[in-house]
Amino acid sequence: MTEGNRQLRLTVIGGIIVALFFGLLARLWFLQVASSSSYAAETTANRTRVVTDPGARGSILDARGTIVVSNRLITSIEIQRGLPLSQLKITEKNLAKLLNTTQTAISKQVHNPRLTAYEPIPIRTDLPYDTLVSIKERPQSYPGVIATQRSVRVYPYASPYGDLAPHLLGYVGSVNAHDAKVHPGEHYTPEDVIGKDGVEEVFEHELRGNPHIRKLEVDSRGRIVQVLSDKPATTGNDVQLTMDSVIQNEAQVALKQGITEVQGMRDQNFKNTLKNFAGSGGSAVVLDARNGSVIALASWPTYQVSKFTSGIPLDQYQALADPAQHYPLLDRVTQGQYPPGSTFKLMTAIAALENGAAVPNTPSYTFNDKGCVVFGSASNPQPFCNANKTPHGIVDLAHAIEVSSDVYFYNLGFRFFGLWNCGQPGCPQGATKQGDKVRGYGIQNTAKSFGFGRPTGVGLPQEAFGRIPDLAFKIKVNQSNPDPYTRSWLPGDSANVAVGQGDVLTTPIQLASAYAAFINGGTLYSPRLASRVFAPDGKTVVRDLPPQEVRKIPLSPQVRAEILPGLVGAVNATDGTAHPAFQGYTGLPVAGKTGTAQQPPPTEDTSWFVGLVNPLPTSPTDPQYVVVVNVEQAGFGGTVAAPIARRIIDALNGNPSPAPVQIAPPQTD
Amino acid sequence: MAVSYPRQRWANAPAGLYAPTRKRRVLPDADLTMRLDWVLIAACAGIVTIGMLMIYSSSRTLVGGDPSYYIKRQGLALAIGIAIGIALIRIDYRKLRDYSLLAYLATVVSLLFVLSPMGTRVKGHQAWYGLPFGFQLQPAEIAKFGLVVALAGYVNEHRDEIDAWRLIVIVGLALIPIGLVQLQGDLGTNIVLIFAVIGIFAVAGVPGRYLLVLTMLGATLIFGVISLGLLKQYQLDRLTTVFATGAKAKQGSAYNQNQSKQTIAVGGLAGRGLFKGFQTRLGFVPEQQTDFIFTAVGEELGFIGAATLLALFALVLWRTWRTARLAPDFYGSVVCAGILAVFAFQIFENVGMTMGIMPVTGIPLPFMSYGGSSLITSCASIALVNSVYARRFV
Repeated sequence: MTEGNRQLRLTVIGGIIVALFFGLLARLWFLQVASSSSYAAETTANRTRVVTDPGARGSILDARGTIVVSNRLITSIEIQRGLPLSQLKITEKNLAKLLNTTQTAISKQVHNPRLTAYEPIPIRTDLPYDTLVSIKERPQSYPGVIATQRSVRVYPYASPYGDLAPHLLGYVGSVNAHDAKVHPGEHYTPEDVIGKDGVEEVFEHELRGNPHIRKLEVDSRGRIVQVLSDKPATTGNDVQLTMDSVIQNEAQVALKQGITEVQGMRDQNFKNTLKNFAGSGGSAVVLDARNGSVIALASWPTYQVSKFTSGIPLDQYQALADPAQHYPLLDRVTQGQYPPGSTFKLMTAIAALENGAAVPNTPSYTFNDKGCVVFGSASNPQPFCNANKTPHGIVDLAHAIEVSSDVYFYNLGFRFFGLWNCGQPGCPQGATKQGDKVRGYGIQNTAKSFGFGRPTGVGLPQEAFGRIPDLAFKIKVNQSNPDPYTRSWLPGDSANVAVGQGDVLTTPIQLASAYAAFINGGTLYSPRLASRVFAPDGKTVVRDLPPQEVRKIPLSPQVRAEILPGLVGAVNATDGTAHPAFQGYTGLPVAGKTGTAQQPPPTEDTSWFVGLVNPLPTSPTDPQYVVVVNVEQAGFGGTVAAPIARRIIDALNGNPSPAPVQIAPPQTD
Repeated sequence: MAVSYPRQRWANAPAGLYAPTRKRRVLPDADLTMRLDWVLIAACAGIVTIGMLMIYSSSRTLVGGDPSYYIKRQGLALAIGIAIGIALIRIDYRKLRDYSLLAYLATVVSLLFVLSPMGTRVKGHQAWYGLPFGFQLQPAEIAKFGLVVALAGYVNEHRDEIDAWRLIVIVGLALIPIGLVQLQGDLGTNIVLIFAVIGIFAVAGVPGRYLLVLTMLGATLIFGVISLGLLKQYQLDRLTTVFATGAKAKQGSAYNQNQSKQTIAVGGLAGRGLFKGFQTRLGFVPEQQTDFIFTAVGEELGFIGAATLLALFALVLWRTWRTARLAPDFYGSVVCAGILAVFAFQIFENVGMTMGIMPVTGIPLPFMSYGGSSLITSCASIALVNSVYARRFV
């Protein structure tokens, strides 16, 4: 070993050390200068926690100012986080004994991974106050247990016929993953409640109180070091509905009575099987025709919304979703789609007058109703008939509406087919002349301008579209059908559309707003649920919610004048289809239209009635209402739906105790 | 060029006679003071100052009611370290050669007895002697100094006869304290010791092929310890976290290193300012006042501060390396090389670990990390280097 050799080795060692140091320096540069910002976000997330406590939800008032939904304090038991295991065991054991459950069940709740780690663990809610007291009296037996009260939804409007307007009001529930996704950045936590349906969902942003949001700085052990920001909770706004709880209650009562009655009635279409009507469901909706306000909205079968206040048990929820129960959660007013039957004849009548398919004071305006009309070739005659093949004799448009002559409207349908086919009313199939596709679709176009075929925009969740068929629709649905005939527009299609059958589907609320537009002179409104939003003090108006006009329909007064007598006659003339249901009626003038929509067998007919209260007001401020009632599988509209509507109209006239619903004797539709 | 010690005088010395026969001139204190490596001392003082500030910053919330609990204790250790350092500087380092055997025995015995009931267990490691007033002594730290002094002395004694057999004897001697440290479960210190042995051998002129064999042997030893299951699972996890990716890189054993990297990174170029680092204040980095002290520097003083600290360390290493080159004799050169290896490896491993480029092992950052044993050992080591430096012309 020479001196020089040692120096050389030291030099090599020095070189290695210099290299390592440059490595350290390079890494330091990379971390602190080149990628510092990406780490900064991570450290901010490390040390800050956002803790939210829900603010109280606003109340819901009806049109009269009565509170229909408010809040109530309920008891709740929670367990603190970060309890030593030994203490947690004591708490779990004693709570299990107190609440009549097993220790494993409590332990499972404690370790529920869905709950935030910065809030106490919710164990039970809505306990008797005594339970709360017994916990507070023996804190040593329940270490870490927080027994408090918190607010839940309460429905003060009690009724023997179930809760008021569950389909309209909706309910609140725990925030789930989907809700959190729909409302990003709004500080929803799993302990919060959120509107799940109805008004609660539509006006979630008004009703929800601003949560108490605390931004905390925590240290590595999750202990709070300082409060970075503290935004106090505020109560949500109150929403005043256009719904009138008296009318709403009457609608629910009438609907239930009518359906119970019809379920005890023999269906004459099943003569050999002694079958009663199924009456599987129904709905009633009342609109203020002047502005589209929803006065009442009832759907049957219904459910008890008050059961949802503290979370509904799974088995109960499944019962509600069971087909044998006819889907109580379904809001039939906005989500139920039915063929409208004769109630749709209003559209056909308007279209016929406006497109020249029926011209007053010409032969086209009247038709000899012999009970059936035969269409098609001589070798293949296709009869289209009235219900029970009842002949009505020579009828004009108004009378055809009054007695609901299908034959008259079938004929109008065929005349529209002629327009579609060769540009002339009533020309037969197979003509070579160019058809008029605009006037030929006159009924469809009129229906669409009155809002059929698309949601009305009432705002309630999952509103159905309904359906107004045309050739494009037939081609689309029969794309894979081997019979090319199914992809062509046929005379029978036009005839079916003319009487609201075939592929036509509407929701009750579409029908109601269309008739409202007809009697108010042609303004189509989006049905309005609420009129006003109040500040939490209940007095200050935060904002008015004006009626939502969809469009002004160019409806000429002459057309209205031709049709309205038919609607008035349907209720008031002795041969009117709804006349039996309005025996002895006093109050505002009423017009209406019945409907009996055939469904594919074995489903029984849907019973319809559209009631028009005060169709010809003397002044623009006079009240005008549209009442639409439908009952599934219940037979004639005049028999079932009209008596239900009668009771609701009685209530609208201010009758405090309207007569019970009496099923009228069987009529034609 | 360094003045090399005239070897001829020792050529015929009888075996077993280590002490020089010639009476050496004792340097008076005034002379000694002038000849000290003040650059080295100043660099160390700078590091200690930063260290004290950082210990305060990262530990002031740990003990309720007394934010300066840790720096008071560290200050006391510093005082002891300075006292021992002054004593070591005044002694001619060549006299230490006479005490090589004693140093060796003292190291082995202290490492042995700490395993007995005389030692205390802290955080699962039987590695400390309990002292009055809650102070503790960690013999493994002192072994870093003891083994260097002992092996340098032994190598010096046999420097012309280092063949394969002599190497085996030396390695055997080194393996005894290394084995004892392993019984404490302190792999980190052992890696430092292995590097110290290799550093000493390299400068002592062990032929390159033997060095290669020894390095491989050391590597085998480390991997043997790991694969033979002599490590606990958490130690293994820590060693391998540096390779972890994805979600695994943020939990469990990776948490520490992940937080460590984040803490350094948020410092940015200029840092958040002294005592203003929130990661440091909120205690997101476990063991921040000890092994992860560098993260506090990174967050609060930024790249500028951390790079300055690395520069001070570089200064310390450079002056130690320079002394190894300038040393008037073989022994002085070898001692300095051993100390250089210990420091260099500890700095690289510790800083690298906090930045996520080295596995996590429990090695303190010299002069910085909270811990009296480490600070006193570092002081003693630097004093020994100074002792060599000051006597390079004597």
